Amino acid sequence: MRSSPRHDPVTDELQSKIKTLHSSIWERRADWPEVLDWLDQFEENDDPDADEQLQALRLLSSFMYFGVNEIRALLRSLFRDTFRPQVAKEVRSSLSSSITLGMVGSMVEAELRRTRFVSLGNPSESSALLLYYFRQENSLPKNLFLHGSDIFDLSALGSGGSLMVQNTDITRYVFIDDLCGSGHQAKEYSDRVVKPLKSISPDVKTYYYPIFGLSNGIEHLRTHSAFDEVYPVVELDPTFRAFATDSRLYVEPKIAQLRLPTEATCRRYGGELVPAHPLGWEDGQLYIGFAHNTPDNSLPIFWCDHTGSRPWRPIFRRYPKVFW
Amino acid sequence: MSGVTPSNPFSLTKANDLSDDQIQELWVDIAPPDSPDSLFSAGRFASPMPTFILGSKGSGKTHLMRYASFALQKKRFEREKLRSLAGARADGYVGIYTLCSGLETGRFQGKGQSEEAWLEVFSYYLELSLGIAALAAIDDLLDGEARNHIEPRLCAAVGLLFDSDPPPANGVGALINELERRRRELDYQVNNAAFTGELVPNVTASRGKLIFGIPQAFQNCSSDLCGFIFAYQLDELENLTEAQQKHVNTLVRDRRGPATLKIGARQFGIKTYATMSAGEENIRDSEFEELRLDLRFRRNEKTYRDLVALLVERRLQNFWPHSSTGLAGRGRRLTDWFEEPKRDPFDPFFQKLVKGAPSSERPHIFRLRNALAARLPRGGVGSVQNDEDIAEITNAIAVPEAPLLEKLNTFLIFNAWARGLDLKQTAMSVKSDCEAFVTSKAAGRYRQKLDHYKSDLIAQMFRDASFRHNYGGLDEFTRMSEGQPRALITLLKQTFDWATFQGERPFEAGSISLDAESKGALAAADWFYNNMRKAGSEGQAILIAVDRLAELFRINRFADNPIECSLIGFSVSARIGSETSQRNLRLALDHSFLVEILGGQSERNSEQVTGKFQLNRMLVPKWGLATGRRGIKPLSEVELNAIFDPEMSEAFENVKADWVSRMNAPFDRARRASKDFANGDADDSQNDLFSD
Repeated sequence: MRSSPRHDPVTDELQSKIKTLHSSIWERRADWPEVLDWLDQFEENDDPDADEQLQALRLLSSFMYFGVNEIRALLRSLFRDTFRPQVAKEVRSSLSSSITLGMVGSMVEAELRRTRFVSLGNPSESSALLLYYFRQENSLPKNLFLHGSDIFDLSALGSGGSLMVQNTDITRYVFIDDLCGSGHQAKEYSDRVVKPLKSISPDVKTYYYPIFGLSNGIEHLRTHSAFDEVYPVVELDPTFRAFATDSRLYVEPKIAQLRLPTEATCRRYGGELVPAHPLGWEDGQLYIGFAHNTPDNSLPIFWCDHTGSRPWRPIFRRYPKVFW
Repeated sequence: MSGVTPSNPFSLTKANDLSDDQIQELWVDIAPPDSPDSLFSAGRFASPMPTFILGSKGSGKTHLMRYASFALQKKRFEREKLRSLAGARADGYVGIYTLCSGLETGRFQGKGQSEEAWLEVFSYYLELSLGIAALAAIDDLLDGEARNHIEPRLCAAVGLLFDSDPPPANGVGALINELERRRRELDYQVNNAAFTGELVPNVTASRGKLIFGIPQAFQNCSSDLCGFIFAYQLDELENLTEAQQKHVNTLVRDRRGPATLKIGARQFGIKTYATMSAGEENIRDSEFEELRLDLRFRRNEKTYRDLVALLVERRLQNFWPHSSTGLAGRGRRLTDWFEEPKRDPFDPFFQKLVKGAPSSERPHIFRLRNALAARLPRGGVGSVQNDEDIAEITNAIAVPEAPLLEKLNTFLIFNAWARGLDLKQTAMSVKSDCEAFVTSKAAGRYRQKLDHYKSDLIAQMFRDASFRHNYGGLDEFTRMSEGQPRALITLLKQTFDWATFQGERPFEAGSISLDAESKGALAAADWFYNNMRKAGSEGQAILIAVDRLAELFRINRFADNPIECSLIGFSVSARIGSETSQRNLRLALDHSFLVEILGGQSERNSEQVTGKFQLNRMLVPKWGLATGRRGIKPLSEVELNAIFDPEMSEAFENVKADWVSRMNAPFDRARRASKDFANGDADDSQNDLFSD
């Protein structure tokens, strides 16, 4: 156990880094006894290269945690730097080149009034919480927000009528999410909500803006979904996958050789915890967590909370969706 | 997930970051303010003699000066239900505190203007700034009725202090407004000089006229307003250029009337004592007095320990009511909150260090046996000619129940080897002394050697066991802080953080673990060390020198036969060394990386001045060195240059090789005089450990 007084410079350095993270951006979510408790689930070995605890500790020291303040800042950026400039661009391209800045500004404001921000999932899920922060951070009025089911008017359906749009004045729908991994969930949503919407109102514009997005998932949505615009605030390229050949965790030559053994360790434990996705949902291999939850695209060793046949104590717990 | 973490009572370390209330609340003194022993009275704020309050970073200068300032005086007057004027008379002064960095003195240079022009502008700017501050204090001192008849007279008198454009004001408030307006105008000119290429200030008052004239004019208004002085407290003088300091020195020299200057600066921050009065230099105890805060603390260890205890207790008084155990912590002795490093040779901890192994398998015995065995093919070492001889020695010095004593015994054998003594005889003598000590625990030469070398012995045993070296205990932390209260607060801050991170409840339950204390000490050392990185090329030169010095001390600490015990100090003649190495030695001292050893500093022997210095103990955890200095190594000129001249890396490698060779078996260089490294002052051969 790494609680012994033995002096190991590598462990000391990692412990020091985790202490700094814990007391700053991790919002005191993992103090050392908790880290030790988590590490205790891995095997210890005198050979540092084969020491699972050291591998796990190293991975943990790279865990990217986004607290409430960081998420709020990213949501500000989503509106200010991503959506609003996009609307301004669209407004300008619809006008002749002689328009004044003031005119563009007022037209953007008018367009914003005809925009609705939509949470991507169930009202009890995290995207609803994100929309709450999003509204506060960008000082937006409540009437600009709605749930996906409120986009449509279903009243005529029973009496032989067709599916209609609730408010035909709306020109833009913005769908906000915390993370786009493989893009499959957002694609499903697009098929279920965005496609019918576009079939009724082809001129309506739809935007999918996750805070974080894996490059592959974003590309998948751009080519296969009905969203007009897909853009993450922070794009995570493949180097953010823990065990990719060009993973940014194992760039330093002296630790590069630890990539494969660490992957094997994570795969072994992950296989027991989430057999279908040992390295995270659809092989996500991420090491990212948010104040409100840890996404299942991250490595299960971080978040899995098992009490069954293979008990496991997480370090950044995930609160799973429970289906009844 | 973790619960609520108690806030760190030591998180605020800089007096500049404290509010007036916090300055008042956290102030501690070692004696009542009217006692000559008190820190407060050492500032001599009520004395007309100007005072330089000097000290290293964190020695408490700003806290002392702010505590003595009028803002804090007023709070104390209120508490004592005294009117400001009566309070000022009782204190004998009003403290007008100004931070030199607040003057943004960097603006007063360049921009195509001459140095002389800038100096005049700076001089006028200081007049206005201190004049405004003095008037603000006067505004507070004047009471309702007195104000009405004093104000017009004061304004008229102040008007006469100006060479031109006397301010048209009838009240102190209007006077302040007018002076502030003139300062704003000057600010505008200074800030825009780079763009306008012009600097045409309307200088309406000569040097010293307002600074010394306003207090005099005020007290001339009525005898009721006398009985105290205006103490201008200029803090952080190191932020002024040499020319600006010369101007301040001139004010010090020309001081007059009921006003004086109390100047705070880092000890290396005084760039000159010259004045503009015919090139005269100010002389200590003639034109000014000097208070060296950290020196004062280091000279009187007991005083400092008492102060530190008060300081820590004061912080904890504010912490306990908010902690989970409430005020219960008050009942405990302060030192009991800290786990102390193990020092008793019979403590079972030392068995743990050697993993309970039998003597023959312990690392120190192993090392001695191997060193002797390696010499057998080359004729052995004196009477030690074969494996049986070696076994006879290792058996004789074995102490199965006390590995620390056994470790000392190997030291004694190595020492005898280095001195060419008979090792078998020495082993018998060591055995008998050791047995006597084990039986009686009595004082004697064996006990003395144990006490002297214990720190190094334990350090070596820790290293053999791959254990982290321990630093801990309030006494050790106090010693490490070298008379700088902020250094101690930093140590405690880091320790508190580590302890809470590791799940402990510092100052609430149990004692802070040695592990947390050691990590806190290391973090504080890193903080201290890394601060120097910001000091440019000078800082780099200091770091190289200190790294080299520490490397040599480490060679000594982990040697078979250290030349000195607990070595962190050295002595060197003031006459030797290159200009570069002398300068870097001075810089390391100025920045408190090195500390002058008191009692021996600038000691005069028959022919030359010898300085004695040591590594600042705040830094020693970086290299696992001792905090209790015992030995002092005289440095030769070659060694001095090799350490303190960054260009001399090859020479330093040679010095290192020499130290390693002379302190470790087979001691090839131990008894050989070296042309390169020895000189008359640098006798570094280890004495016989059995001579008294």
